[in-house]
Amino acid sequence: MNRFWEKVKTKNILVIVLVIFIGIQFYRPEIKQKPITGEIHVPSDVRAILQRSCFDCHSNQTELKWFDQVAPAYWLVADHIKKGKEGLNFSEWDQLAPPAQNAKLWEAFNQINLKAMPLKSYELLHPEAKLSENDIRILKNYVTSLAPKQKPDTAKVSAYNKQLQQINTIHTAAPKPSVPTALNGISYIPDYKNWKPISSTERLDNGTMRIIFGNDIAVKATKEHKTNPWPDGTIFAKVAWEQIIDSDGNVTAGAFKQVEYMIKDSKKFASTKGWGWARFLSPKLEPYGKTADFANECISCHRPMKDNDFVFTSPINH
Amino acid sequence: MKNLIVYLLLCLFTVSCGSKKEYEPVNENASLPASFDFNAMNLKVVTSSINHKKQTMMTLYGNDSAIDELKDHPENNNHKERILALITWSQKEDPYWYGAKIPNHLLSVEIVKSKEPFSENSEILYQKYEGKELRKANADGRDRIRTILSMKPSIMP
Repeated sequence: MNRFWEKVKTKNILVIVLVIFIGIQFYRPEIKQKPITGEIHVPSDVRAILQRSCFDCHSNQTELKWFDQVAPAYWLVADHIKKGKEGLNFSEWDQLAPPAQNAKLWEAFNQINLKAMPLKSYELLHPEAKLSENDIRILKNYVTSLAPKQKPDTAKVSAYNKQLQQINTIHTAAPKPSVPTALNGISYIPDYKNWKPISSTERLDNGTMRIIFGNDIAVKATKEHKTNPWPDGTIFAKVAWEQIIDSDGNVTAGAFKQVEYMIKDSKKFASTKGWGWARFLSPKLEPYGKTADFANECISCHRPMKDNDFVFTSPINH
Repeated sequence: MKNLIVYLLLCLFTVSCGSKKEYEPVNENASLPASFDFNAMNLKVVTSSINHKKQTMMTLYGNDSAIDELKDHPENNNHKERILALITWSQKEDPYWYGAKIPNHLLSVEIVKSKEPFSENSEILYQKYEGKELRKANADGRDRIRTILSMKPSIMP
């Protein structure tokens, strides 16, 4: 008697699973087919790599395999493509200004170089997308060729002098009534100037130089080697300036470009990896981001450091 | 044969462990010795610079009165002590961002002090500390004082 019921049960379960499996095939979130409006123009060897390894999720030329079409894999693929195109789309490349295009390519290269891209789950089912050492070298040479050549430039000097004048007028004018606030609610923190620097960087990819400031909690955590994860209350401010170079190869800080913050609060900012993210541009401190979820861009760039609490900087004790 | 398999497995294990990225919780080579107690001087960032020929990067720190004087703010002209400190590091490629360079080894700390405004005082004190341990060095600072005092504060809105 028991055996009989067991048989029935097994059969029923199989039937139920099959019915569900067929059923879920009818739920198909649309992968929008959009036209190629302004494609990226790169040397043919670079293009071949991008097409093979990136285009499925980062262009309007998605080529799905038969197994990508089967739910629930299809749902995952559809989601990857949607998010992928939001961050980087080689078919709508002309929508970005040339400096933004360069920044995207350098970021893409670094994501690949740090093995964060292509996504491991994608690579597993699409082994042809995996980049060889040679592919990586081709991309590296290409992005290197895009780096701005640093040479004495009077335009940079005058941009710096103009900012200096502006700052001095703001300095003497009445204090501003409100603090600039980004769309995610994070405000500019003027006090960063009084914090300690924890490191600095020279960026050859975009011709800037940076100082990363840390508040007292960050400095204490560095002293105690408690940096992974960083404690709640940690704040970093990364300030970027243009490079001004003289004929002897001395580089000094030119025009102020931006200040970026990472504010650690594992509860408040749980939905954005435990950090609050914001960027304020130019001495006018214009908040970056067109929508409240602009922090997705910050996170995707910092994702290769996910095992290091999303922080690139290795801090220096003073 | 068995030994060979064990050996190969061990090799594979070591290789796979070795390829895992190790993060540096602190950039030790670039850090100052705790005994130097740099932060006790309570200085703020003035500016930073890079020397492409020497492949070095520098950060200049100062107290408020020194920063005001470098900014040419005559309204803040006071007669408090001025302190400036310049830290120099060698550079290395950032292991986590191709296209970036970060501090590698600590090379020196130079300190410039004056009881009076730099502009009025001929007695400007210059001290230089070198190497990872920041040993005091005997150095004639005349040129260095001139260079350090000519550095312009960075724009920080």
